[in-house]
Amino acid sequence: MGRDTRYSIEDIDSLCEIYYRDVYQYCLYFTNNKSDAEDLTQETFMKVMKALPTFNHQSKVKTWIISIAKNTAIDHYRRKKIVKFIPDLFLSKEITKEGLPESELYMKEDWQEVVDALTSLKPAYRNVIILRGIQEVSIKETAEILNWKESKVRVDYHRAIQQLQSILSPTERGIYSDAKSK
Amino acid sequence: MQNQNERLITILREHPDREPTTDMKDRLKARLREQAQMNQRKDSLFLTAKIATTALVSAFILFLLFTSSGLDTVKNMLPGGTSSETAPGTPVIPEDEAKDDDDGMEEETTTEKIPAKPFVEGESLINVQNDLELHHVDEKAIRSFLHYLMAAKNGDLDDIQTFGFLADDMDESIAIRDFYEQTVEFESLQILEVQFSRAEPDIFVQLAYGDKLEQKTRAASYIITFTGTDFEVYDTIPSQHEAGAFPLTEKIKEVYESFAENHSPEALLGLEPVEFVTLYYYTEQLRDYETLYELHLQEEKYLPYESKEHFIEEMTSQSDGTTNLSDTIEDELITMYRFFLWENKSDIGVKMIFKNQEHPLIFHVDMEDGVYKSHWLPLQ
Repeated sequence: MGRDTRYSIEDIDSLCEIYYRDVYQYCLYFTNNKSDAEDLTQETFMKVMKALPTFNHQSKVKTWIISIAKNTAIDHYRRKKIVKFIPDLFLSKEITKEGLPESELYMKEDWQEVVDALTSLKPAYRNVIILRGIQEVSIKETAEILNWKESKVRVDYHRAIQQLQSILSPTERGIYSDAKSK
Repeated sequence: MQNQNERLITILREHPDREPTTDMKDRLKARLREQAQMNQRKDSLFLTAKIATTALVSAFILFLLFTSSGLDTVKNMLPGGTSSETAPGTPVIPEDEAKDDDDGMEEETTTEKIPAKPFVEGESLINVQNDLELHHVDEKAIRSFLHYLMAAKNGDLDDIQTFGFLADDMDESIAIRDFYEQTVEFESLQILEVQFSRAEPDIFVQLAYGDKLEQKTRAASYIITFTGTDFEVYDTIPSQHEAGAFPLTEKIKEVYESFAENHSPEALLGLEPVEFVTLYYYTEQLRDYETLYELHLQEEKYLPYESKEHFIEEMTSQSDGTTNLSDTIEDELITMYRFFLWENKSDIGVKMIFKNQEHPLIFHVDMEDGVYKSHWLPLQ
C-alpha cells in the first residue's frame, strides 16, 4: 500500500488475511474468552480501516495494528471493570490455602489454570507476557506497541513472569482460587 | 527458573482456542468489505455534496459581484469594510503606526496577566514565583513553597516547620536552617526544572543555587506535596548530591568492602536509605550477586528464590551486562530522597526522579536486624 489517503477493499482484505491471526490471539489471551476475542478482533479491524488513511508508516504495519488491538482490549477491560465493580462489593473474600506440596505444583498447571492466572495479572503485565512470551514479538516492537522503553519491557517481562509463577505457587493458590471464583 | 518460565509459556500456547476458525476469518472479511463499501458510498455522497456546495457558493459570489448592491454587500463583509469609510475630520493613521498601536494593545493585555506585586522579597524569589506561575503550578502550592523559602532565608524555624513536610523534628529543622544560612546564596536562586502531573500529588521543583562555601553552583530539589488540605515542602537540600550520577562516596565503598567480607549486618549500621540504594547499585555494578543477595530481606516469607545459588544462577543467566536496577536506571538521575508512604511511616522508600522518565521510581527498603535491607523486586 502506498501513502495514499484512500484504500481499496483489496487492501483491507489483505491486511485481514495477514494479521487477523495475530490480533485474534492477542485478544484471546487478553480476555481469555473466545467470543470476546472475536468481537475485539472485529472492532480492531474496523478501527484499522478507519485509521488507515492516516497511517504514516513510521512503524511496521503489524506493530501499528497490534497497538490498536491493545487499545481496544484495554477499553474493553475498563468497560468490564466498571460493570464488575458493583457486584464485587458484595462478594465475600474467603481465602482458602490448600498448601499443596512442591511436587504437586505442576499437577494442576494445565492451560486453563495458567491462562486464568494470566488474566488475573494487571493489564500491563498481561500485555508483556502475551507479546514477548506467547507471540514472541521482539523487545523493540513490544516497546513500540506498549509505548514503553526497551529496558522496561525487559524488566517488566521478568517481573510479570515471576508474578505469574507466584500466583500459581502453592502458598498463593488460595488467593488465586478466590480470585477465580469471582 | 528459566525452564519453569519456558514451561509456563508452552502451557499457555496449549490454549485450545488459540487458532481462529476459517469461519471467523470469513465473517470478519465479509463484515469489513461491507463496511468498506458503506464508507465508499458515504465518501462519494460527501464528494457530490461538496461539489454542489462549491458550485452554489461560486454562483452566489458571481451574482453579488455583478450587481451594484451586491458589491456593497461584499465590501461590508470584508474585514474593516465599514470602518474604511472614515468620518470627516478623523486623522488618517499610516499603516505602520496603526500596526504599532495594535502591538501596544497586545503588550497591555500581556502585562495584565502578570501579578502586579509578588508577595516575596528579593529579585530571585520574585523570579522563582514568576517561573512557577508560567509553569501553571497551583497558586497555593507556589505560596507554600515561597513561604518556605522565605522562612529558610530568614532562619524562621517556626515557618520552616509550618511549611516544611516532615519538619516536625526540631533537629531536622535546625539542620535545614543552618544549611541555608551557611551555604545557600539566596540571590542566586533560579528554577531549573518543574515537573508534575495530574495523577500525582507531588510537584517536583529543582532550583540552582550558589554554594557560599565552595563557590560553585549546585542543584537543590524540592517536592511540594499536597497533604489533603494544604501544600507542604519536602526539602532534600541537606542530602543533595551531584546531579547525573549516583552519589558514590568513599563511605559507600568502605561499607561495601566490609559487608562483602562476611555479610554481617553490622557493616550496614547507620546507612541511610539513600546510601543503601547507592550501595545496592554499586554491588550490582560489580556483579557481586552473592553480596547482592545478602542485601535483600532474608525473612523467609519474602524469599522468592529457593536458595542463594538459585538467585546467583538466575542473575548470571539473565545478565547481559545489565541487572534489574541497572537496567531500569539508564536515564540521568536528577535526585533521590527518602520517602515515606502516606499511611505507614515505617514503610520507607527512596524516590528517584530521572530526567526523561515521566514517573519517578520508588525503591522499597525495610528494617531487618536494625539495618536497612532491600525488598525483593524493590523497584516499583
